Amino acid sequence: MLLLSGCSASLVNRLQRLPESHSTVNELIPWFQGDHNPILYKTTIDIYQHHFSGLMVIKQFPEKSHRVLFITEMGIKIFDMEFFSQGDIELHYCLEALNKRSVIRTLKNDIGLMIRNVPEPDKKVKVFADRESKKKIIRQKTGLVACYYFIREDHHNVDAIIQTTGTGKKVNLCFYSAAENLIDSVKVSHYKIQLDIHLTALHENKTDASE
Amino acid sequence: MNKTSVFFTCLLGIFLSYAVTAQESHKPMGDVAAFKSRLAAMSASTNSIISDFVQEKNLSVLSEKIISKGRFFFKKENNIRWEYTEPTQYLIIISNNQLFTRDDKSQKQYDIQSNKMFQEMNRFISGCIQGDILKNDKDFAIEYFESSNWYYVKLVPRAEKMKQMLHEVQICFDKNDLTVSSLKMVESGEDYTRIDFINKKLNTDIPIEKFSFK
Repeated sequence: MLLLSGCSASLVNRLQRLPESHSTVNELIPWFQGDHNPILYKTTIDIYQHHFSGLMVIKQFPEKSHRVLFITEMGIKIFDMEFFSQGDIELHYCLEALNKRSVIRTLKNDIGLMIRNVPEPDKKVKVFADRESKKKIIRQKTGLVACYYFIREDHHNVDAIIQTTGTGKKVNLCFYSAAENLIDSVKVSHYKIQLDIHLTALHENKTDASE
Repeated sequence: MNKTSVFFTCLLGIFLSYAVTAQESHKPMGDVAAFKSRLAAMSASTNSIISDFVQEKNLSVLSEKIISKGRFFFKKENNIRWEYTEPTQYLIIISNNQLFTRDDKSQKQYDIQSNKMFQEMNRFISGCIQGDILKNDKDFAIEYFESSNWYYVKLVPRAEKMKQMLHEVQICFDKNDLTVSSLKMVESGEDYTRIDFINKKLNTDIPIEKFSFK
């Protein structure tokens, strides 16, 4: 499993600008795409003193949306969200205890970043190299929000994303994979609030495709 | 498709038709008072239950069902242990007004008395297993049915708030020994969680340590 050392060190000091011709946005293959990916992920969500444990279902639909459902081990549905490729997000359900505007906004942002996990192809990017690891980093800005995509050495996938706002680093996503295009686990950690999400793929699918 | 496959497909079709017919043949229960009386007697004489369980989660957006498996333990009074073994290991123990959960990363202990949601959950689980939930017609509209092999009880929450989470609960009791054979919790839409209890053993000795938080 790939261990990411680049997730915590000071970001700006590490960046060395590269010509835009080094951009590999169009060659990147997003995680969670295609039929080969697992549907079920063992998941924990820690929000301040609250610990939620269960299974996350991530299912890609042909009409270009991802449905993401989080259920407890006992089958109680915590939330159900749909992420469309154009960027729209629909909240289908959320357990009342968690259904606070700020929590939903944060979950939509984090899970949206996790599902999309590559820069938008039609938006401007800047390309950097990490002075320490020599890895390629692609930055895409939307207003004050910037996302730094750390490219894996094979140049096909992203192995980390750091999202920053005008006030500093906001959230950090690390993707772990042993095999090409097949995700093993994802860690989402916040810098300013106590929110951590950890997914581990259940590769041996314990589902019954009886329908 | 070879002949054997055709034969088994037909056989499966016949079985499914029979199962659907059996499901449809539930009729309103003839003697509800007698059923309640038998259930109360069974509950009084049952000190412990050990059972394997298969949990099926149906989400209307998924064609695949999520199957979980494990082992269930109950010991009077109100000691419950759910041991999930598939697809992941997860443990829930309810004992002495405490709720304990353990996954591979962490373990948590909660005081049930201090949390209304846990109180409700404990009352609901314990009530379903021991049949006490059928006394609660204040919170649920209760309907009684039976077939040749099963008693079948449908509970519809009265409170709108609870209805948003749980549309109805269906409990199926084995007519022979009045134990719970399956528990189906139907959410809004077509989503549901169904738990089938299999290989049930009543009144075996379960050490109380099984319900301690270690």
